[in-house]
Amino acid sequence: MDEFELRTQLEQHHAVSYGWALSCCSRNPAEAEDVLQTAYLKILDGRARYDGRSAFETWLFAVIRLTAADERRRGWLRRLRLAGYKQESTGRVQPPERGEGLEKIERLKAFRDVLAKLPRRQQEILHLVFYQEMTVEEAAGIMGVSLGSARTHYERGKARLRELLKHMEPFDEHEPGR
Amino acid sequence: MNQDDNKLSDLFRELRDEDAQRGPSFDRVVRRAANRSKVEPRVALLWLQVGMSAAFVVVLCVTIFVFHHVKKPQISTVAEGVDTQKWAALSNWSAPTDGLLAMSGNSWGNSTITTPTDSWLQNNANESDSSQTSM
Repeated sequence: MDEFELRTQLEQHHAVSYGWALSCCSRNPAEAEDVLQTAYLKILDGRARYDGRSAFETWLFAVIRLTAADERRRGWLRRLRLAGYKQESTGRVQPPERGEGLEKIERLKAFRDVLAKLPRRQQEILHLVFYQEMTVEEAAGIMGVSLGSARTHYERGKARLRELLKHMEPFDEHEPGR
Repeated sequence: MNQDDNKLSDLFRELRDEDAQRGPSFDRVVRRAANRSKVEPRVALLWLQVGMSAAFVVVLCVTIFVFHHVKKPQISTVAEGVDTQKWAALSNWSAPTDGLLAMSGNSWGNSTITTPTDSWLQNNANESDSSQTSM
């Protein structure tokens, strides 16, 4: 795959990649963007090569997950670098749109808080299955765990998430599909 | 999927829509990545320079240390010279009884040792001479 093809593929998967990077970085936007930059850099300069053995998305997500894990290990250095970036990006966060309900914003904030309470593996599998709409098998491939282990994380994560959501006020009134 | 799964799906979908609205554009991420790839080698070069300077200082310290360390053998050579002189002096040393060893090399014939009974031997010799002549 040449550089042009790689760029096209990356652009097509950019939105979902950012969502996955957010999930890998405890939903910290600055860290997620930093991880995404590093992952793209690795791919475009050939340090990470796609050999076609799996789907491009599966491979890309695995690169992002490994990059995020690597950045976590070098946490202090990353925080130092992001210190300037956070100041720069503070004023750029978009305010909620005029028509966007306050209730929805509150619900999503509460949902993010609840998600953050789950163990990392459970967060990852639930994100891949519900957010990225993947199968548990595909998720297991990205996470680098066996299918059995992925299923266990999935079931436990779902049960724990439901349990936590029961105690959250905004979800009592929320009905799906509306 | 049951109803609970649908509820979770809806929540994740809302989260995805929000992320899509607020996330950085692809061009911005790639541009920043490209800038980082330009800056990071410069930072690496800076670290290399710092490393080289540190290495130079270390080499200088080692050279100074070795220089002083090389001088010490010169002192020890003098000490070794003193030791050699001691050993040489030892070979010239003589014990008080060395004279006895020297005497053992001399012949005893220069001096005549006499005992009180030597005269008897002399007399016996004269008597035997006279008896022989009388016969």
